[in-house]
Amino acid sequence: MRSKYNYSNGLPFDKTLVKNLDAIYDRVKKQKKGAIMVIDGGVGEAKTTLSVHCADYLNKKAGFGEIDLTPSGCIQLAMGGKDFVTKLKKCFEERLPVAVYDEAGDYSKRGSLTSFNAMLNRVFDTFRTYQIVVILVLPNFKVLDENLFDKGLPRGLLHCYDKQQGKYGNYSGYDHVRMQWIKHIMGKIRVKQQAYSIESPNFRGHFLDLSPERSHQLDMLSTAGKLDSLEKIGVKMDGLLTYQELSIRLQKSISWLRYTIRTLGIKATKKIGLVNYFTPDIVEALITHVDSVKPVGRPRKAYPSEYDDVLAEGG
Amino acid sequence: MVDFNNETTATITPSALVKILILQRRHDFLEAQEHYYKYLSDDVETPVSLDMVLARLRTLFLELQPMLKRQWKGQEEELEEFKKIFTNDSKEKNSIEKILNHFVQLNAMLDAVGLLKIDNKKAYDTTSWEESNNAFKI
Repeated sequence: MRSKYNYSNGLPFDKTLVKNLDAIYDRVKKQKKGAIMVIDGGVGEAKTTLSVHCADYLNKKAGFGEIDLTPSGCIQLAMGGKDFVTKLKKCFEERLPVAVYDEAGDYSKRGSLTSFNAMLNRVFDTFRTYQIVVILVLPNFKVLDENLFDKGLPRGLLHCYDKQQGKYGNYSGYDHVRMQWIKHIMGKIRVKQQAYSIESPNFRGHFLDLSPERSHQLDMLSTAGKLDSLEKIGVKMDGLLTYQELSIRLQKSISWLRYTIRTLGIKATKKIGLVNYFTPDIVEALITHVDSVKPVGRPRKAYPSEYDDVLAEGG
Repeated sequence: MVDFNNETTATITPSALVKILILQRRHDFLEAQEHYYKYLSDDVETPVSLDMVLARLRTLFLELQPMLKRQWKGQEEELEEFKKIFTNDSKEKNSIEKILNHFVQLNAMLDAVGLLKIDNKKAYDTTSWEESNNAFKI
């Protein structure tokens, strides 16, 4: 029976996607091979919603309930790279079949893609045997490292487009070969989004929205991740510095900085999460401190020079 | 069509030429039987002759004869049976069905040696990522 949140098959998406999710699940669970499923699309195309639908389905298939979207209990939906690694470990400990990485928490960081790819490579070298389907939610899958494709890890892509607000979202499914072709075409043309139209998909389909309660929970989670990122951007724009940045500027170790700042009684201007931020004035204060402080330890002994006798004789 | 007056034909390998000739003979036969049926259905008073159809089958047979000898080793009876339709005494007994049956035999043989086999692409469910990936051994 079709409802606002489910089609007649009892799911928020069609049977073709079910077939593909089943195949990925079997690959990971039965064949014990690694698999990544990628969901990409523009901003506001309901990528995260679709990822939650897919994760819900895989969870139920493994005998678990829908994924927990409450801030305290959410371990299957990670916002950002660090969060993902932590949660992936938790998923393994609780034998959960799927983990979702949403790029939302990472998009502000310069170089985050490089670290993200390095992290993914590391994760898939070690976590393959843990039998977890990983769903990556990205604005454009082209950012994925070539190395992942060489390993054959991305098994399929769901490209979200043209969402009909309040009605349904659309997706196109592409297999690994088609993904590679799209990636190739994207490198050749000016308007990268056109590549999705040039390569024909394996299948197309619609998906429905989450229930209002879960939709609200997801909004809260997603917004929290994005707000955190926005706050960090604000801090950067103010020119505030972290211990790491101070360490690079002053060529001093982080432990030295922590000790000195504590000794001088300097307070952090801002604290976001566990990270302390300081105003740039602190650099001058620290340099002055370095110049004024005598080196610790025994004073250096003045050894007699070979010219000392000559100087004493007045020559 | 193979043009033996053209100098570039000499640059083509004999096997490629023979393949084209066989396909050409086969096409000629199909055309002849098409004409036969066309005239048969036109309700013409004069009796329709099988000669052209038979002649074209004979040409195809002669073209294939060395290969048939190899392919039908141990099936000499079938080969003799085949030859009979070309002899004059058995001409009256020939019917279009019999000729077509023989052609079907030749067709099957051509398919077996790969000359007509064009449906060699692996069939898989294109709406399935995994089947599609597996088809490319990914």
